Amino acid sequence: MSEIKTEFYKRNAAKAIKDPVLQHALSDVQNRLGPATALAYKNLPEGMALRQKAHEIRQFAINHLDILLETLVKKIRDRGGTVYFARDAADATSYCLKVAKENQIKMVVKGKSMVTEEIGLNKILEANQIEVNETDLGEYIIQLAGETPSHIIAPAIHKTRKEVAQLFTQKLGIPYCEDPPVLTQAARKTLRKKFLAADMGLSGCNLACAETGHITTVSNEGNIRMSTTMPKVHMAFMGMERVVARLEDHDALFRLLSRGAAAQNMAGYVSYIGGPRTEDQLDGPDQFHLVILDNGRSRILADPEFREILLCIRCAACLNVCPAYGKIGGHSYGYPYSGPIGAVITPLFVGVNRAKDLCCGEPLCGACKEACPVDIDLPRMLLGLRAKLAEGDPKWGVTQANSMEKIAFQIWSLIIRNRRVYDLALKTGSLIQKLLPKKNGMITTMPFIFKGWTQSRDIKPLARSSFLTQWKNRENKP
Amino acid sequence: MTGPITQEINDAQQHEFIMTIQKALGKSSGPALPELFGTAPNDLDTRLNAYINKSQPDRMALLDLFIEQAQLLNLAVRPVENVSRAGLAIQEFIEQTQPEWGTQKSVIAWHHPLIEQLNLGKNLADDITLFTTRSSSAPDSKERAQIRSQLINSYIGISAADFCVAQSATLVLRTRPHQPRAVSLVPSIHVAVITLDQIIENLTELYFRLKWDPEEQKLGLTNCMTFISGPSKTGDIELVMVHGAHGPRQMIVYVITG
Repeated sequence: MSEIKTEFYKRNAAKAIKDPVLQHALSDVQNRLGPATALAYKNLPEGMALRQKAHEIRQFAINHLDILLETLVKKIRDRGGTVYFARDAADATSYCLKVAKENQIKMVVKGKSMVTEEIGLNKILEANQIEVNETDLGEYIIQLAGETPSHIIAPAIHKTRKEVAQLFTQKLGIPYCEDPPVLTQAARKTLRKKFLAADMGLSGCNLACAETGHITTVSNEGNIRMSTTMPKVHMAFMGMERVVARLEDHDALFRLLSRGAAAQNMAGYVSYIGGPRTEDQLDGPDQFHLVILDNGRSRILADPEFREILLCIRCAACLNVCPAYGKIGGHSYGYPYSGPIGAVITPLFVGVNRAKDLCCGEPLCGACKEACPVDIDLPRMLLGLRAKLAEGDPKWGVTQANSMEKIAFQIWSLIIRNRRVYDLALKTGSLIQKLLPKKNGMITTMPFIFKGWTQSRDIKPLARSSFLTQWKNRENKP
Repeated sequence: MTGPITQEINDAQQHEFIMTIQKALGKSSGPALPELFGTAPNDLDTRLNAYINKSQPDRMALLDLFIEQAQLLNLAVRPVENVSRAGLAIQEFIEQTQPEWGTQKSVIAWHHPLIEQLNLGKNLADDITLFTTRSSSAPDSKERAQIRSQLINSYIGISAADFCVAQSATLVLRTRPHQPRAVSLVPSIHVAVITLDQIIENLTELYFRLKWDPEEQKLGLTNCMTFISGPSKTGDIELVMVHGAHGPRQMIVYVITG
């Protein structure tokens, strides 16, 4: 299991906002990728409507997930592949370790995979004396730095070229140089040796196809092709929801995924992998293992309110437009999934109370829904999670986050439904506010439970008399 | 590798896993498979016919679209009249380029009818070694290790392709005997040779033909079908685009138009 640090959301967010380097990097990502993706959608021959079609394709797949998975695994087994169904993170990592030990694996090369971050695979392999090499350049940078990804598809986006240059000088022993092509070449040279020496390759899975019995992997660097072609064992990890029924479903989905992730017409490499090397072939792995992971997904599937989040194809388009992510960055979310997708899925994975700040921190502006290539209504689910926090929900094990809040709103509801009581409350308020500190005619500090309202802004005092009273006085005048 | 007892445990675990999903979905069984995966459209023959027998002007228009899209990806497209011109052009290219790692100029080419016709072995300069990936019907580990080492030591890999999708400048390669995947991956430069009739319009056409054309159904997608759209690239350092992350840093497609 990945380390959960969702409790420190507020503290880490405050730190991130004060980090000028991070602020620059985040606005750069958002200014460039956000609008580029929006334009790429607009330029689709089918226009924005393709997103609704993709939504339906994903919805259809989720509704038939049982049959699709059974069809997929049968075809993969028929080709000589091995499939393992893992209930949770521990189950998945121990299977991986078992296969690694059976094959005396000393070194693995890894393609970028969010699901292996979710199950915390690297730590477990390393604890068993297996060398793990992340090979996506961004993942490689953060592995060298001992950090975690801060963006789903650009994991090292919080690092400047200066920091990467210092890191590579220190860890790879190359002369200091800030030029991205030179830095990329240094990583290329180092990792090429690893690709050719590793005995096991690990990858995720972008979208499987049930009909043909293939998983797919997508990259621009070619590192996933390397990891799944050169070592003698390939193990792929997929969240159980990452499958569609028909081959032609990939038409809309790959075009949208490429646009959502990086505003590309098509990702550089897409591989359909359906089994190990056959005896007449010259390369490819001798063993192909697919691990299909539940780890909390079936619980989400069982709740119609949140089932829609399983449609997600992890493109990170929502991160690139989210005003909250754009200020606090990926690390604040305290779990591998960040941004609006993280704010919905992390509470469902690790506990709504434990990750309550994530869903409360998003602004509900709707930008994520518009950017989503499969048109997921993220704001609706953010609100749904907040409702659970407000009311409590035994089904999800959610306890009411603040019982006083509910009582306060019940009292407020009584007050505003009775004109006389309301007027009395206004009058009392306008008397009490005379005692409060003010600056330029604005209240700067409120007491007790109201203090949150003036934490980062001043508030206007109540008017001397209410609008209705003023209106009546006007009308009564001749 | 897995004994019968382990297999039984695995089956039980799969059963439990699928049952959990069915319970979550609130159902016991789903629709019949044809409904899930689609049935052959009524106009299947007409559509296939239109796809396979494109007119020459249509094919040339697709080539133009491919060239236009390839440009955006730093993918070079070189139309040539016939296969012998392609052979000469590739030979010239090999003579003009230098290896990325080391000094030995080695080139590896697929054992494939179209690539054989290039006649590359004939006129190459003495300092250039050409490897071909011809193998026995069931290559043993020694034979595979030999070709792997030739592949690693080659700076140019020459392959054919099954299709070329014009709209996204994507080559589609399926795995076959004598045609290792790594030829389009490990060498620093990937050279592909295709014929004009292999260029198709878009993914819709590709998937339709793979799914419904009886000729394509025979082979299927194989155990590894790869889409390649341009040379390897990364933007992981400050979103600066760099070509040649882990795969080929340069890619050229020769299109035989005659």
